Amino acid sequence: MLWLALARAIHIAASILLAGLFAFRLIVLAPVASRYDRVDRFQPRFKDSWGRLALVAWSTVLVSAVVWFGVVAASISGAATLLEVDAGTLQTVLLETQFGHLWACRVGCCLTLGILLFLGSHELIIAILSFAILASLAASGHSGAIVANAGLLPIVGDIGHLIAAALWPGGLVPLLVLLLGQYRAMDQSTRTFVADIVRRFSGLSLVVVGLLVATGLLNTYFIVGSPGALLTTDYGRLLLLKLALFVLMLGLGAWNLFVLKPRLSRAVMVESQTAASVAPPVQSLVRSVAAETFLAAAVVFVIGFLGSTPPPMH
Amino acid sequence: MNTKHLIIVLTISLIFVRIADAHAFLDHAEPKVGSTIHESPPQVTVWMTENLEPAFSKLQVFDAMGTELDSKDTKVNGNIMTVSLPKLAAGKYRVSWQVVAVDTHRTSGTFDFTIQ
Repeated sequence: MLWLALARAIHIAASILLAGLFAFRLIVLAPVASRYDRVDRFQPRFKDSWGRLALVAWSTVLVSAVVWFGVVAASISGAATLLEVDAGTLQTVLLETQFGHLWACRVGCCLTLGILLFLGSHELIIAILSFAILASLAASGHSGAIVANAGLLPIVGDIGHLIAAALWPGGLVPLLVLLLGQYRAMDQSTRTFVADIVRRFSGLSLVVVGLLVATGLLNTYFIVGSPGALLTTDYGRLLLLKLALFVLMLGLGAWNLFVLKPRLSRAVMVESQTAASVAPPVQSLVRSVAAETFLAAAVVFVIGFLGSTPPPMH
Repeated sequence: MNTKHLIIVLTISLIFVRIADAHAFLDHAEPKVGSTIHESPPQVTVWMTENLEPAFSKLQVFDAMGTELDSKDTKVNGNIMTVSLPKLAAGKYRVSWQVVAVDTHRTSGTFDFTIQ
């Protein structure tokens, strides 16, 4: 169970990060950067960091997919270790199960994405592939197994939820990288640029909370049992742990939105401000976003274990 | 943050929770779990709480001595699993189900029925 939970958590986290990186570039960075004439002054450094991060996320998705497949095959066949899984079982899992079919599609998309990334193809196509990889996780989970007359609604809800996770928690990492790379060299243009990025990301986060509420309601309708079971079952207690982590995350997000972002905007608006006087609000923001990112990773870690624990409704 | 805001945040957090994979369990069966019937059924059918993987799911019927009596022809359609039976004599029978749901989790269980 531990390996299954870990492999699953790492694969989900890497998939969210991969999609989040491209979403951040296309939805947050590109529109803001297009408004600046001197983009080349601060873009290359971020581009290098972003490229390394994309490579790490991509390779982690691929490696964790292989490990996850092996662990699932062992679990399905009742083998005690990966070494006990024979080729026939692997073939059956790959060719005759929903998990195997989706896994093959996911790995195919991931390999294609890697080639396109290497060739420097159009970012929108790569972004769509990264979201396809992420979305396919929905049908591999509970949504794909639900017996309901609702058709594809549970899967659609779960896909929406995963997309929302890529846009907000997934976007925290590139935001953090950008902030870390920029706040030391703060000329007026860079300050305004950073403040605009933060403003746009905050706006996106607010929209994403709406999407999370809508898709979460849908998930709740189809899956969640009685609230009382939260305290009396392992699943419920794990859920409460995840809830506590998420409450902290929201608190930090609110702190960024209502305190740090206005503070940064005020500092940037004063033309005469020196880099030294602008740095503190940016540093506070870096610390807060780093903490938020850490909490998001912890939430995904708990999701890995939730996936191996029967929910209270059963 | 006042109480009202805290309640809103907690509610949103509960909604945000992505409840992941579950496990397939028995919803109901025919013959019914623990039932007593008067004629040998042509088959046993179980309805599970999740859709199943046919390649890794099976249904078996044993007599009181532990001898398997079903036709070993388990059929799976979505969340419904069926195995056919020869004509059974009066007695107590145990149905054993071992399944893998499409979310890849294994579960198993048993229930009895009696023919009078």
